[in-house]
Amino acid sequence: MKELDKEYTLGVYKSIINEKCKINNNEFLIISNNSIVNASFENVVMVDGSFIDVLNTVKKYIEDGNTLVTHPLPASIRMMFSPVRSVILIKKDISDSQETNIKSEQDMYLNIITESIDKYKSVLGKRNIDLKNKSDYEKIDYDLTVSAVEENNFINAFKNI
Amino acid sequence: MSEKKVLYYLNQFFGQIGGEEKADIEPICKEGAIGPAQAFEEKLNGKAKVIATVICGDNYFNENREKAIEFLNKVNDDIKPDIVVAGPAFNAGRYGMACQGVAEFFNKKNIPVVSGMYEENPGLDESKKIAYVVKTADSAAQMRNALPVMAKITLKLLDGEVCKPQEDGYFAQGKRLTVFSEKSGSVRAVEMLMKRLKNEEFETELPMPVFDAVEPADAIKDLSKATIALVTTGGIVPHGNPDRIQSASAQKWGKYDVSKLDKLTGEYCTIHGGYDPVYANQEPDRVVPLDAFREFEKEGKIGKVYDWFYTTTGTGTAIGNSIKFGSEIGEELKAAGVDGVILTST
Amino acid sequence: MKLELRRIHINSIEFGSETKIEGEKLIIDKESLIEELEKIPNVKSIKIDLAMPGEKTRIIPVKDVIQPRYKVEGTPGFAGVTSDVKPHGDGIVNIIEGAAIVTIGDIVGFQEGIIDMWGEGAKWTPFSKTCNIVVDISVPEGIEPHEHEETCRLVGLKASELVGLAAKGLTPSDVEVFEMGDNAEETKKYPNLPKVVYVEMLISQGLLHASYIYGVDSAHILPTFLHPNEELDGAVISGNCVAACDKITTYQHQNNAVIRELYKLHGKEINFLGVVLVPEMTTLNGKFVSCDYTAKLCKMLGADGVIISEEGYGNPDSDLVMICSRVEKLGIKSVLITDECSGWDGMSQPLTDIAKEAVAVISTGNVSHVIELEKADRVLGDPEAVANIAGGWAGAYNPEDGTMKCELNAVIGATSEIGTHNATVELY
Repeated sequence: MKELDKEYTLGVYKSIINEKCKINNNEFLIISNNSIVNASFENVVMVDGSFIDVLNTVKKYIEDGNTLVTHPLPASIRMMFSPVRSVILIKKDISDSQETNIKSEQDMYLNIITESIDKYKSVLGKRNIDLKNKSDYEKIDYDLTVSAVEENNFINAFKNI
Repeated sequence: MSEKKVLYYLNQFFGQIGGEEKADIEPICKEGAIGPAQAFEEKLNGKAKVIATVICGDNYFNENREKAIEFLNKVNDDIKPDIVVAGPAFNAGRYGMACQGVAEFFNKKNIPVVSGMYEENPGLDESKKIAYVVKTADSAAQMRNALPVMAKITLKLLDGEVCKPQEDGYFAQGKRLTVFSEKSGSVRAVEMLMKRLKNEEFETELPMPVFDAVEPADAIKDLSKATIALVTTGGIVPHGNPDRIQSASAQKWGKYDVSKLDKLTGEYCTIHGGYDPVYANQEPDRVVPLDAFREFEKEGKIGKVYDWFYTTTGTGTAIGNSIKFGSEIGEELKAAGVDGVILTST
Repeated sequence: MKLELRRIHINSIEFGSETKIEGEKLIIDKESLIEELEKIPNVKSIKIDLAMPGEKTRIIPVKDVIQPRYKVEGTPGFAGVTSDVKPHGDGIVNIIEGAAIVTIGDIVGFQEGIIDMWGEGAKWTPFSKTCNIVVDISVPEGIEPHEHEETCRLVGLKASELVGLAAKGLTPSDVEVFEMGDNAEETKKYPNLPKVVYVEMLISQGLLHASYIYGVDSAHILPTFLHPNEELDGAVISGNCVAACDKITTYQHQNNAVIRELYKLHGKEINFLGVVLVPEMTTLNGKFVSCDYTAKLCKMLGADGVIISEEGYGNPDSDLVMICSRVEKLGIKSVLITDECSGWDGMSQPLTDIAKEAVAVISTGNVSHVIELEKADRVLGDPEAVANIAGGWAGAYNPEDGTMKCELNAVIGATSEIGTHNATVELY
């Protein structure tokens, strides 16, 4: 069979491809330097720069009181060499406002982003960022972001009732 | 194999020049092996020779690093050693720092360096990364135990052999190298689990770093009524350094009455050996901000500045000493009713 | 459950007119194999090559490696993926030992995954020692990456079954039996042995970073409990195609080294309760849910000790350490298996996430360790992928003699975090 058979699929990919993932734009923001992510979601803070610039911007937003939804680093080493990265955060006015919890959670997120930046630098070392395959990385990063949004929707469905 | 050339480095004491009173002597280079270098050479079994010994005062090296390095550079050009041996410094802090300086210089020239120190020597942390620092006792009485170990490593390195910290008796450099083990990872994991379940001893392959966390004290409730003391490890002392606080590897701290002063400029200077002193000497308030705090006092932002300020030198100071100084100073401040401390470092 | 693994050892492969095994030689009917595989939807064409140990052949980029097997008795194929959903773990399997199906073909341009069949590179991957049947899959234009990945996955699995047919009807003498009842039975038999659970973390984050349990994508599930026989029989397959060094290939799932080692001690020194598969979630809340649940599952099972293995690097390190500290706080002793990143000179801090509870760790190697690879006589796959590695940093490639410097993270299975091989890290 040489032609593309769009009717054949084992997974649930159709729902992802056909339907834009729902993300509550009043609650979330995505810090990214990925043009596909920028085009697909609202509330994207578009970073003009590379992976490390995205991480540094995430750090500023956390210091400012916003909280992390996704982990700043990807799960595989190869993705660390990507020129693009997207990280999802919850806006600070929305996050839980229990006074006692905020400070220790804030510390935890700061720890995570600082350690992530250190780890990123140590893995990258003197390597070049892989710019040649940028559009492929953008596709994968976009998909991983969509995956993360779905995951978030499962777990955080009724956070703010 | 042609005889290899060893260059030996000693301080003024082991170099048989003199004691503490000679700690300021400039470096000299003597032909052949001097002092402990002779006993060391015997252990080389004729495979290498100590061509020359450099002897330098501990204070001189630490306070005139550039000139000392220049001297080493010249010696290196003249002699072209195959390997350099420094110390052993045991627990002598300034000697250890000097050995560190020697190690850094020759490391840049890709010449291996062997040394020996006690685990608390402040020169150890940095030198162990770039030199093979043998584990020694804390007193020079153990010289005859340290030299053979240093000699063995020296011969191995000259032969191009790989050295291992456990086997060869030196402090691990911190390099994590990927090698093949005889057993697969899964076998090693299961064996380690069995040891844990049986409460037997085991050795982890990835030690977790240990952090020494200090609990912060409670916040000051009303700053405008608080007495704030100024403490520094920036080595700020009155002109003339009356208490002879060391420029590196401090053995003591000092306290000075600043109750009548509005700023430190004019009366104080720096003796810290770890940073460029020009700006601190011009205005020591840059390191200990007495001037700024006097203003806060006048404006009522703080209650008052404590009458005494405390000082010592941070660079190369042993952790053991730092803990001691901190506790002693802290006790005095607490007894005096001080509420908070501004601690400046450099 | 009782699983009998029977191994037919081969040490060479040839193309011939019929797929069968003659002595220690595997013969493959290339045309029929290609014809069958090309029937799979969205396959444009298939190319099959052979790579034998010792040849100066380089295979890159590798998508997955699968062991060819034939199910004599029991649930055939890979339930939920290539065959109907039925439980795995019982029956008799004929395994063609010494052979492997290697699927290649990049779904994205930056895939790595090298298998060198000779030289320095061969030392670092377990698949330089297997006779490899290299399957190159081409897909039609316009295909989305998801569909592409799925197609490649199906082709690899199907190829392993088709080649496995060569083992049909044979009764080899090398037989290994994995027999274990349910927890209540086993605990009754061995009441005094310490109970051990194997916690296996699986990468579960999305496209090219997925794992499948009975065909279910592990991205949106809670940690789940498996009888060890199920994984040995093909219940878990890999959809992870990006990271090379610590990716758990389907072959490695089929031969899970930790499960095999724990099984050896079952009934003698430990009471091996089973396997908890843990998805590595992307969101922090997801991680908390996953790690809390895993610790609770281990506690409810009554585990005295656990071995925790990781898949991946970077954000899964935080899951690894979270699970460790949670189980230790519940009084369960843990041993972790992970790779590390200590930089080119080995002097950098290996893991940034630390928990003081992680006192027993097996390190499977530094992913940044640099090795030198000679020029290959033959490259199966995409020469561009070679350029990706060679262009990794200035000086990585020497145009005069064609040697390349390559970090271990590009070699398949080099720092396998389920401990399939012998790399470790020593402090110097």
